[in-house]
Amino acid sequence: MNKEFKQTIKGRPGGENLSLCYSCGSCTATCPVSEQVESFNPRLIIKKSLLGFQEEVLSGEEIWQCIQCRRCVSACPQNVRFADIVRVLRELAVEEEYYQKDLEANLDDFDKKVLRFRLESLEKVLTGDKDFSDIELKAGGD
Amino acid sequence: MPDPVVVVGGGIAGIQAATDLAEMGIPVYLIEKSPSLGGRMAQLDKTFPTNDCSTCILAPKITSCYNHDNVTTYTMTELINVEGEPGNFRVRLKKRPRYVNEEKCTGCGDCLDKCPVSIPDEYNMEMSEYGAIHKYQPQAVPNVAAIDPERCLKLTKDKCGVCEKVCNFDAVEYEQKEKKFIVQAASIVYAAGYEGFAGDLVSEYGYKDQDNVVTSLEYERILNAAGPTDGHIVRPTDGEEARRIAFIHCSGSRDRRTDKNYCSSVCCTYSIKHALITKEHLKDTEVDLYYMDIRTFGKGFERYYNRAQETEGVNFIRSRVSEIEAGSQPGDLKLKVTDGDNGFAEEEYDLVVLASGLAPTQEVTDTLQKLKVRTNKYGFIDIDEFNPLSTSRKGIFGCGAVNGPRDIPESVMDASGAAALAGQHAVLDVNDMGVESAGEQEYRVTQNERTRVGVFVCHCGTNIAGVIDVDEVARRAREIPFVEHAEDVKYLCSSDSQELIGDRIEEHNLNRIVVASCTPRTHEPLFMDAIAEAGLNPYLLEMTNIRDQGSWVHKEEPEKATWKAYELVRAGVARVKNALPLERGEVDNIARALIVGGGAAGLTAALELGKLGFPVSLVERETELGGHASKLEHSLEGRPVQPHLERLIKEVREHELIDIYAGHEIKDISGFVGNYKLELIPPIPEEAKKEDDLLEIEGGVVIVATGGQEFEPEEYSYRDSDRVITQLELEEGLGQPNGLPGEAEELEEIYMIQCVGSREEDRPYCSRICCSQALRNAVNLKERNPEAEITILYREMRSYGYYEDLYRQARDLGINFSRYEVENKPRVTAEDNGRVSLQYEEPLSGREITAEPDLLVLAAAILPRDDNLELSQMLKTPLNEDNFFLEAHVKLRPVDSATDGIFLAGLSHGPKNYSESLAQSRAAAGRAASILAREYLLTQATVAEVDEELCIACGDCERVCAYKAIEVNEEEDVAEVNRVLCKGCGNCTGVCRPHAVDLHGFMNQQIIDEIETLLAEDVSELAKSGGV
Amino acid sequence: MATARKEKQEQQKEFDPKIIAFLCNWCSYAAADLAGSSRLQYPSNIRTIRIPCTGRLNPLLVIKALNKGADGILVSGCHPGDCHYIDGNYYARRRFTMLKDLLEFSGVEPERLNFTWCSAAEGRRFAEIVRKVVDRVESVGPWQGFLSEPDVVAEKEAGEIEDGEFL
Repeated sequence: MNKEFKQTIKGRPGGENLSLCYSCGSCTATCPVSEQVESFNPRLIIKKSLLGFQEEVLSGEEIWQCIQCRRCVSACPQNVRFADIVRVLRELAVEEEYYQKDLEANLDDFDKKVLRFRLESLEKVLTGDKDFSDIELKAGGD
Repeated sequence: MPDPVVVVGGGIAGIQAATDLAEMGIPVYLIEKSPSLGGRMAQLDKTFPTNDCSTCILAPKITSCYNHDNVTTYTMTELINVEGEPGNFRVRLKKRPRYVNEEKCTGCGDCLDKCPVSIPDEYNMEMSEYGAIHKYQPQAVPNVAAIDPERCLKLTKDKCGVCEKVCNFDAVEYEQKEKKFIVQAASIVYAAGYEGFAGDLVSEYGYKDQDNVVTSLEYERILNAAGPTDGHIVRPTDGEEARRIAFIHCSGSRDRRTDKNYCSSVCCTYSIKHALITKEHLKDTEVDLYYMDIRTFGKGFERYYNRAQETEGVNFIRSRVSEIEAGSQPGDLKLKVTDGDNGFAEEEYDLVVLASGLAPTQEVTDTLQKLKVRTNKYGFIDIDEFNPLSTSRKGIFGCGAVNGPRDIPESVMDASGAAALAGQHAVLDVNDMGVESAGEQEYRVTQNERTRVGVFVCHCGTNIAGVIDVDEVARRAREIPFVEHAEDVKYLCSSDSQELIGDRIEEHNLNRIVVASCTPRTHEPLFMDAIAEAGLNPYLLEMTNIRDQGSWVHKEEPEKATWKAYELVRAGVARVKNALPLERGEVDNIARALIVGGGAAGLTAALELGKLGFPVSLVERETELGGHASKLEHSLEGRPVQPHLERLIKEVREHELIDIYAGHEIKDISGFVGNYKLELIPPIPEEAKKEDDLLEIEGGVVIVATGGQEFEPEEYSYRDSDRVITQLELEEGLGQPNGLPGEAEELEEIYMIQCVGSREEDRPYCSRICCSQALRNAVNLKERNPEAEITILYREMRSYGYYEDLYRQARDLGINFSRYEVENKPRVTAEDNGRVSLQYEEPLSGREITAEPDLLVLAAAILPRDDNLELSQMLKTPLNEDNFFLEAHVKLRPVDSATDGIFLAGLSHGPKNYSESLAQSRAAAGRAASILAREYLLTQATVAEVDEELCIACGDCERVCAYKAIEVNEEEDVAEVNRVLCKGCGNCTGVCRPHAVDLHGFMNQQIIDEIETLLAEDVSELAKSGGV
Repeated sequence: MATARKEKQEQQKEFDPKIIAFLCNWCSYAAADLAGSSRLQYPSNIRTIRIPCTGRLNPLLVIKALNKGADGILVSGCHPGDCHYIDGNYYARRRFTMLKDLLEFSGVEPERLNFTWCSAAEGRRFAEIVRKVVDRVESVGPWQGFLSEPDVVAEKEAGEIEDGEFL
C-alpha cells in the first residue's frame, strides 16, 4: 500500500477531485463499459486508488478499458471526474513502467473487440433491429 | 393588551407559532398564501416513525388555531414589505381576491359540482381535477370555496356565472379586487415553508418524460385514502397495481450539480415510511430503496429502519441510480444502478418514486431579501448556530423549513422557540394577559325547570333536503316527548338562523337544543356559541349528523334516510334531556417556571423566560453552571463554544427574575400543572444536615434539562491504551496543552471509529451528532497538521443538513473514509509498547487493511443519564425505551412531556447538538410561557366525575388513565379526578365496574337512553321502556 | 333445528338489520364524515353513537344494545398507535376481545360483534366496513335475544376473521 498514491493523483491535472468521491456508484451505473464488462468498476478503481493500492491499479487492464465517453463525469454528483482520473492513472502507469508488452497485446485484442462490438451495434441500429442480446463484449482474451 | 405579532405561513410551523403566541395572550395575524391553512403537512398521508395519520393529528390543531380568540387569519394573503423597527413594524400585506365572501360562504358545496370548468387539483399535486370554483382541500380551514380567476369563465369571458346563481348566501362576488393593507406588529415570525425539488429531473430521472416516475409528495397523495387514486398504489399510466417499486434517495440532494450539496435530512426516513406503507397496502410488492447513506438520525428512526429491513422485507441497495429509461414493457422503467459492491446492473420497475429534497421557493428567498433577512448560499435563512431562530434582522424570526431542511417535530420546536423570541418584543404584561377566563358569562339556571327541548332541522340547501324530507322529520319531532318546539330551517349555520335559534329559546323558554344538520366536529362550537348567546349553557346542546352521515351517504334511499334522520333526532332528544349544564373550572396558576438542570439548555430556557417577564427558579446539582457544554471546545461550525457559554451564564446570573439554586439536589417533586413543588436539598455537608434544611420552591411549570452523558466504550482497547480516546476527550484535549497523547501537530496517523455503542442491539438508536462531530474534529486536526493521515471508519455517514458541506470539506482536505459492517467491526489490539494496532476489512475492495495509528478516536454513544428513571418517577412522566424523556407526541408535541406542564429540553430528551439544544430550550420556554401567561388555568368541561358512594377504590381507573388524572385517595378510599389533568377520554368510565366514574358530556345514562331510543320500535314503546 | 334455520332464511328476505356503531370522535367518526363529503354510498342500517374514544366504551353498553334488540354492533376506533388519548384504543381492543369471547360463549354469533379501526383519511374504508358489517349481520339473521337455542349457534364456525379486517 502506498499512502502517497492519492496525493500523487491529486497533484496531476484531472486528478484533483479524487478524494471528493463518496462511493455512491453513479459512475459505474452509467458506464457503458461496465454494462458490458463485469470486472470494470469505476467506483472500485477510485476506492483502490484512495486506499493506496498503487501497483494493483496501475498494472491492471481496467484503466485501459475506459473509452473516455465521459458519461461518468456528467453522472457524478460530486464532480469527481473519473474519466480524467483514468487519464492520470494511465500517465502514471506509463511513467512508473507498469505498462507491459503482454498487456498491450491483450488491450489490442480488447480494442478490436470494442470496434467489432460498435460495428455490430451500429449495423443493428441501422437495420432497425432492436434486439442486441446476441452481441456481447468480453474482457480479456478469449 | 400586548402588541400583535405577524406570523407568515399557515403550515404546521406557522400554526404552532401562532397558537403559542396566542396562548401567551398576544394578538396574532396569521398570513397564509393559499386559500387554506395546513401547508405541506396537510398533504401528507402518514407521518414517520409512528405512521400516524397526518390529517388526524393536524386537523384539530388547525381548527383550534383558527378559532383562537387571539388569532386573526388572512388567507390568500402575501407579505409585501416591512418597515420600522422591532416593537413597531409596519407590515404591508396583499390579499388576493377569493371571489367568494368568507363571511357568507358556509362551505355547503352547492356550487362545487356545478362548475363546468376542470382545473388541476393543486392539493392532490395536480393528479386529479376540481372546478374553477373549489375548496382547496376537502378539510379546508376556513371551510370556504375560492375561484381560480385565470380559469373561471365568468372572470375571463364574462360567461357562465352558475356558481353565483346556485349560491344561496350571495357569497360569490366576482367583483372582488385585490386588497393592500398595513398591520402594525411588534415582531414577525417567518414560516413560509419549502417546496419539494428533485434536481435536474428532466434529463436524469425522466420525471417529465416518464409518467410512472413520481415525486415523493405525489406518492403521499397516491397513498392517501382521500387522494387521486383513493389510496390504491397504481401506476399513473395504466392504473395497474404496482408490483415492483423503486425509491430513489437523494434525488437532487447531496448533489453539487444542482447547487444543493446539502442533505435534505428527511428523505431517508420518509422513504422508509413510504416503503412500509407500501408493504402494508401490497404485501407482495417488491420494494427497493436505492440510497447512499441511510440517515435515520432522529428519535426513534433507527428502530423504524431496522423494522423495515428485518421484518418487513424492504430491500436496501447502496447505490445511486444513474439513469432511468423506458423499460421493456410499456410504462415500465429501467434503472441503471451499481449492484451492491459489484458492478453495473439494470433493474426494471413498474413505478419509481423520487425522494425529492427540501428547498426554499424562489419567492421565499426573494421575500427574505426584501425583508433584509440574510440568506445562506442555498437560499434558506442564514441561522447563527449560537442564536438559532433569530435572523440577521432584529425582530424577525424564522421557523420550520425556511431555517433549513428539517422534519415536522423540529419545525414545531422552531415554532415554539420563535414564539418565545417574538413574544419578547410584544411586551407581555404579566399582570394583565388578557387571556380568557372561565365563568365570565352567567347562564340561565335551568335545573329546576321542566325539560323543554327545541329541535332544529337543517336543509343545508339541497344537501340534506334534496334527500331527506326535513319537513317530515321536523313534524315527527314535535311528537317526541319533551319536545316543545321543532322546525326546519334552510341554512342553520347562517348568522340570521343563529339569531332565530336565540329567538325560539326565548319564545318557548327552551332549555335543551337538538340541532340536526352536519357534523359536530366542525359545527358544534358554532351552535354552542349560538345558544350561549341566548343565555343557555352551551353544553345543553346535542347535534345529530344527518348530512355527512345521512343524506350524503344514503342518496338512493331517501325514505330510509328520512327515517334514520328521525331516529337520530329522537335519540338526540333522549341524550340531551340528561345533559347537565357544565362549566370549565378555574385553577390557580403560579407564574414561575422551575427549571431542572443548569447546562446550556436549562440556562437558555431560563434566560428566554426571564426576558419574557416570568420569574424562574433554576436548580443545578453541581456547584458550577454549564453542564456538558463546558466540555465542548468548538461548535460543529468550528466556532469556540466557551465564550458563548460564559456569556450565557453571566446573563442568567445577572437577570433579576432568575433565582439560581446551584449545588442543590432534588429530593421530591409533587403537584401538577399550575402548581408544582420541588423539595431541594441544599449543599450542606452530610454531617451538618437537619430535617428542616430542606428547601421548597413552587412554580406552574417544570422544564427538564438535565442533560445526558457520554458512553464509556467497552471495546476497541479503550481501557487498555492511552492512545484510544473518545471524541469528547479529543475535543477537551485539543483545548488544552498536553491534553492529548502527543501534540496535535505531531500526530501523523489518526483513525476514528463511528457508532461506538450506538446502533447496536442493546442500544438501537443513532446518537445523531457523532458523525458531524468526528468530521469537525478531523478537519481541526487536519488544519493543525496537514500532513496527518486521518481515516474515519463509519457505517453510514450521517452528516445531515448543512453538515454535508463539512463532509465534503473533510474529503476535500484528503481525510479518508472507509465503511465497515456491524457484523465485521474493526479489530483493535493494545500492544506492549503502549501503541495500538488496528485491522479492518474494506467492504468495497474486500481487502484487509492494517494500521498502527498514533491516535484512535471513538465516537462514543450519547446516553441518557443514569438518574433519569428516578427523576421520571418523581415527575410522573415517562421515559422512552432508551431511557430518554418521552415527548407527548413525537410529531406535534416534541417539547411537551406526557404530563401537562412539564417540558423537555436538550439531551434529556435525546441526542442533539449544541445548536439544536439551544433551539429546543427556546421552544421549551415558549411552551412554558403559554401556560405561565395565565392567571388561572381552565379545565375542560367534559371531564370524569366520581360518585363517592359507588366507588370501591379498586384502582382500575388509575391504572388505565394515561394522564394520571384519576387517583385513589388511600385515606378516603375513593378515586379522585384531577380536573386540570383530565382530558375527557373516558377510559376510566369504560373500565369502572361499579359505574362510579362517569364522563360528563358522554354519561352512561345518556348513552343508554340513546341506545334504547335508537332500538325502540316506536314512540309508544319508548315511553314504556322508561327511556324517555 | 332445520326448521329453525329455514324460518331464519325466510325472515332474512325482508330483514333490515339495526346496527349500533360506536365511533370514536377523532378517527372513525371523522372517517364517516369523510365518506359523506366524498359522497360514498353505504347502507342506512347503522346508527352511530359518538364517543370521545373507544376506551370510553364500557362493555356493558354493548350488552345493553344487544339486550335492547340490536342485530349487530360495530366499534371502530383509531388505528393502533394513532389514539388521540395515547392508548385508549388498546384498552378498548382488550376489553372487546374479552367481551366477544364471553358473548360467543353465551350464544351470540361472532358476525354480530365487529371491532375495527379507521383513520380520518379513510372515508372509503369506512363505507366498505359498513357494507361488510351489514353483510355479516344479514348472514346470521335477526338477533333473537340471549335466549335463542344454543345449538343453532354451535353450528357456526367460531372466529371467522376475514382478512384481519375485524376482530
